[in-house]
Amino acid sequence: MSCRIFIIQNEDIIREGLAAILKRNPLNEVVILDSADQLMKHVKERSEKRVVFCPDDCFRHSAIEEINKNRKIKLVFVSVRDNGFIDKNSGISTISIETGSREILEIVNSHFDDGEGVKKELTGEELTKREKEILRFVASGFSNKQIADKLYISIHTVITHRKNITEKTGIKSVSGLTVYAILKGIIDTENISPAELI
Amino acid sequence: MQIFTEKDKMVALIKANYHLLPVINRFGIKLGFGDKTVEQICIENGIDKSFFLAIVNAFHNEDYFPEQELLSFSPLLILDYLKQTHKYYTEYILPKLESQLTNMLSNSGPGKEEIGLIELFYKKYEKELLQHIRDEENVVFPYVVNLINNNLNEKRDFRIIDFKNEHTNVENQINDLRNLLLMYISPVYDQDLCNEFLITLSRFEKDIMDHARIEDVILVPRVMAIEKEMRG
Ligand SMILES: [Fe+2]
Ligand SMILES: [Fe+2]
Repeated sequence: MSCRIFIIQNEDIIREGLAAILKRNPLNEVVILDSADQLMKHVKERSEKRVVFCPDDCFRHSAIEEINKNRKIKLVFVSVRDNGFIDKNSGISTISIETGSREILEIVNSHFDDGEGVKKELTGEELTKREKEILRFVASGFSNKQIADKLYISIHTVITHRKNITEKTGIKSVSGLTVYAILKGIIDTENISPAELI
Repeated sequence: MQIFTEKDKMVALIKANYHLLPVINRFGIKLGFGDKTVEQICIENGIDKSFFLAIVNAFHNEDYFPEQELLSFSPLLILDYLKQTHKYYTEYILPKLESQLTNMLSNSGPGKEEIGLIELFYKKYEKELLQHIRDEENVVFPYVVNLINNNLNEKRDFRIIDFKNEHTNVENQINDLRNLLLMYISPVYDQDLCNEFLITLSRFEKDIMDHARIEDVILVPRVMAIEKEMRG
């Protein structure tokens, strides 16, 4: 099953660059749209999962709400002003020209992964050293921000690590990850009882 | 995709999907319906039949979610359905899961510390879920009822958007519980007891996902529209 991605973008550099990055994954099918109206038409007619890359001022606020209501569509704003971030309320990601290609592909994958879309099997792969380190912090109750500060990395990187951890282990919640970490001896329970951690 | 209509026999619905049993119970429908149709049973029980059909069809087909249709019903109908669902969780599913887990634990061999972790995890989840439900029933639902009775309490600054923003995910831990058992816990327990637990769990998972979807996609937009009307 292919992953349909729409790009609405006037600037050639951004549009062509984005398309080239996205096409690195052979499953991705990139469609360039000329206008936001074209997208709205698509939204009304079809119901498959899609990711849409567009400038952050491309839609009126009401249109964004309308699109966001359709959970099959993921909007990703391409901003020339802001750094990359995820708006917690709307779930809309914003990428900047500094966002790496890996991260961009990741955003697309995660949309097609969850739920009914292309279901990725649990990889069951060993966690890397860095991932174990992050897991130890997560299990001990640290927030993404705190972890980022401790390890001198960006929040975005922490989030990417956490996503990979969840993908490898199949465990999503903090308390679930804590149980996993105890089981695997990633955090030791000699000085602190599991009851306090979970 | 199989869409039920008012002319279908109620018994055919259940034969097609056993998991609809607790769903129809929430409408006060009991078994022993002979060969009566959905329409007949709805009339007998004073149930809005289009609301009933929208709910069972949305539950039966994950891809079918009649948002527009569901949005036309009174929020009071939706609230009532949601409350009945909560009751099913708190009075039936959670006690059942808990006793199945206890059973499993007491029938485990050496090395049951790992299942002890599962029990801790489950207890924490149960507490969180009960709090989640209490918040909805004590704060959110009464607010909606008030709103419908034309009392937009301007002094209280709660709005349904606050609920939407803070509405926590209650399915992730169910997924985790399942995966921990399937993948990481040493099987020192009685296999049949574990299977029973997992089956109850997966039934619950499907049910609660449907429930959360109704809260997020039906209740919230419906109430937002009313708020907008009232404040002009
Ligand atoms: Fe609820
Ligand atoms: Fe809820």
